[in-house]
Amino acid sequence: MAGDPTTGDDRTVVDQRFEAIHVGFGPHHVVIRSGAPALSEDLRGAFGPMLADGPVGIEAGTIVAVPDADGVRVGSGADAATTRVVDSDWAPREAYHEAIKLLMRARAELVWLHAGVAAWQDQACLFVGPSGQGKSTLVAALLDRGWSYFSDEIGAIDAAAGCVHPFPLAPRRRVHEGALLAQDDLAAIRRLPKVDVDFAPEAIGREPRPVAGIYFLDFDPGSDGVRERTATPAESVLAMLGNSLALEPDRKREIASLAQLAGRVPCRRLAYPGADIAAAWVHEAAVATSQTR
Amino acid sequence: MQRPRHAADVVTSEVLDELVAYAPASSQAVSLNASARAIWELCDGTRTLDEICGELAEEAGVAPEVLRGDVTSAIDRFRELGLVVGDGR
Repeated sequence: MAGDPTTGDDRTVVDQRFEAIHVGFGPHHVVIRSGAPALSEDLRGAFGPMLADGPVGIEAGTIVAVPDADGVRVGSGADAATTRVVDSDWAPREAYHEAIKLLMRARAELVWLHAGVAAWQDQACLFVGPSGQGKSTLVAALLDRGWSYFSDEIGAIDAAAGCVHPFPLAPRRRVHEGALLAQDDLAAIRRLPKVDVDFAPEAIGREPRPVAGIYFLDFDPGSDGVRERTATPAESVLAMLGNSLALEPDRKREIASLAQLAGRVPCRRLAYPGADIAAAWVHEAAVATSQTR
Repeated sequence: MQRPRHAADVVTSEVLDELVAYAPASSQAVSLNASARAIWELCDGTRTLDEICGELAEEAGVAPEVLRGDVTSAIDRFRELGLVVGDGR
């Protein structure tokens, strides 16, 4: 075989054997060159609305995934120079995470949070919390109420401008399937299977929107209703720091950015027993706010 | 007698009327209300625990012994979080 698949020296050979998947975020894109059709299908499913037909804008880096005798060799970085061999079952997740990291590094000036993001009309809300607190399910319930989808996992925030950028990974939510769970058994909640969320393509947010509110989620299945209280700016900074996805954090800059955000945006702690109840509450609050603007 | 001082790499940021302090050594962040902040600001490496209690007590119009327990607890907590080195005892 002529050419090197990791550098693309012979594009003809690479194109024949390694499907190129382009994932876009704002002015940047990542190229994933996959040598395994099943892996390609998994990645297409995971990135969903973020897929692009081709390279658009600035290339943030390349991921190369090549099956070998021990599993799948995944190379990442500017020239796919950093490689590791992973189990075939894990390879899609490895390539997925590496692609996201490349996009995050390309926009290191943004604040990156573990958060669901959705927008009502032209105002966005962040739903901050670790895995298992119901971000995806809450965002899915808001989509059912006509909200726009920005992300169910990653908040990409321009703190100085007070706006959030869409990072629309394919939304997925956990399904309970009648399993008995202790209300505080986060590990069990996290093990619940996830299913794709159906949504109309026009529901995807495409442009940054101002952040109108930040909710810190406390999933409390034993409670009988929504409990909400204002979070102080300092408390909000701590909560966001605890859900930071920053890769090589400059904590001083990050804290200053979060303080800037928390000082200008209403922040609330939201305890709730289920996503539909929480979504109804959040939706009513957003509608009321939009009517007073 | 040691004089408590801020750990060298602590990052702080004003958030309205509170101060957020982050200690890289422990990867912990904490928000300091007005009382905690007053104690924190006096932990500058020049004052002993007695001197810190004395200054705060004078400001509050109470005897230093009244504050000693709270000041000691706060400085101990700062030390646990990696925000302060030296305990002033």
